[in-house]
Amino acid sequence: MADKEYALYLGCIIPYREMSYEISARRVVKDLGIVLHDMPDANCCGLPVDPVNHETMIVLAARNLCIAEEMGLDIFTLCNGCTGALMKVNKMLKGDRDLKAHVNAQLKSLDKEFKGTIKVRHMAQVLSDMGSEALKKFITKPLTFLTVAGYTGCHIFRPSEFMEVKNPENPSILNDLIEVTGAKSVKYIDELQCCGFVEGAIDSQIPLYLAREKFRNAKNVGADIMVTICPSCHQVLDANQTRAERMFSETYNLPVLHYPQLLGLAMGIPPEELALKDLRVKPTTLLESFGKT
Amino acid sequence: METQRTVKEMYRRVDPNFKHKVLQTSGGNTFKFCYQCGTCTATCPVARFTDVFRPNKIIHLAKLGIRNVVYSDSVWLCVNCYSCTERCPQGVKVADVMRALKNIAVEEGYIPDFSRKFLENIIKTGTVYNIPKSRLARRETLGLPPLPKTKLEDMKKLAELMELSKYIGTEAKKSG
Repeated sequence: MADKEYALYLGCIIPYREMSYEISARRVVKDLGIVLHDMPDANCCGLPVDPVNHETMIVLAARNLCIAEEMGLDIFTLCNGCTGALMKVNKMLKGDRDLKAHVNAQLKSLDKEFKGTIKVRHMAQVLSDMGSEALKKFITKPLTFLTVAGYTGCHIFRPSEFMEVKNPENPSILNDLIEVTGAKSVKYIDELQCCGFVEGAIDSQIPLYLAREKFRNAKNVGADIMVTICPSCHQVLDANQTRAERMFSETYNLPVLHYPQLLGLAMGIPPEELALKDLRVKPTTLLESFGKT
Repeated sequence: METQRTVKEMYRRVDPNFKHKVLQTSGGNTFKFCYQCGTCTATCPVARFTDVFRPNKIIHLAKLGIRNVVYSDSVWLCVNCYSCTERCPQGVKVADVMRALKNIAVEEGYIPDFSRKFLENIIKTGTVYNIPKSRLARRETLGLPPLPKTKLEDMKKLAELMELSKYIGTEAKKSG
């Protein structure tokens, strides 16, 4: 398979709190023949300042797009929020000549110009574009003993007018990727509902209520673990799981893996290279069953 | 965030021009199509667990010109998940309308502390979090390449260009 090169856009939450995602993603894509180049000089994607000032958000996102254009590479993202902001602004600027001229006038003082020559792809979309058959060739240890509840998150497929998803009410992108690893992917109630991460700044209880729904619904359909493709969702489901357990006096003990960790295990990459020990809820049972295969 | 629900008396008055203000703000122009079916509220993950956030109600109040809706906490409860925008039968981009209302509130000086912190950090570091040095150093022991640095000169220029200091410099307006 031909090597594919991308500009890696990390965003803020991953280097701040979710380095296990970065470690596992870098490790897995290396084996898949994807080359990632760090983006020098990148800044915040803009999404967090969207409520403050929409125009600032567009300029921040456009600046990142310009950097990737200078590198001549498509952007590879790991975070749904970053994907949402960058993909949306990329499409807005490509489709609106007036807006493009307006933003370029502002970017000029930063010595940047938006040309519209690149695309933005989330890791899940890149893998999905490779196709299940191509990915299956890399699987050496199929995880057939495992039932997985995938949690897609929001901004990778909503708003659908910008995100190019075939079926926004039933996106199967993550389910298909889970099936690739040999694990059984289950659907559950409200799996497309937001994790509420952003809410944490205003009302820290609402994300816990939302997480409780997901843990309960996923366990009801027999999920052994959950899998996310966004650092924000992972924060709510993994880092806050014990808080939710304390608040509702319930026990979930549901490990939440980053998708590349799951794929890496199935590809036969040793667990210690996938930063599995960095998870708050330890996937002990999973690793025991994995050791037996 | 401190409650801003009790607002100065002047904002209690109905402002018939407020709807025009929303229509002119980027993202606000679809709010006129709302016919109060409540699909947005029914699909909203936040509305399930709090009774102070009802997107359709907020749109209705904004239409009536009751400005204090934008100075309240409730618009900030929107998590921007776009479920409502996907499902609105009238094509109202509800999440974008909520964003427009937040933008209006910020323009008038009502900016939540966490947003101000985000802006400060972006100008200072290029990212929304002020990532501690120890964590940046830890990347090396984990075998990760160093985190690319943002040209802070550019962030400063950008802050001047977008006049971000007016959001950060001022203290949050306290209601009442």
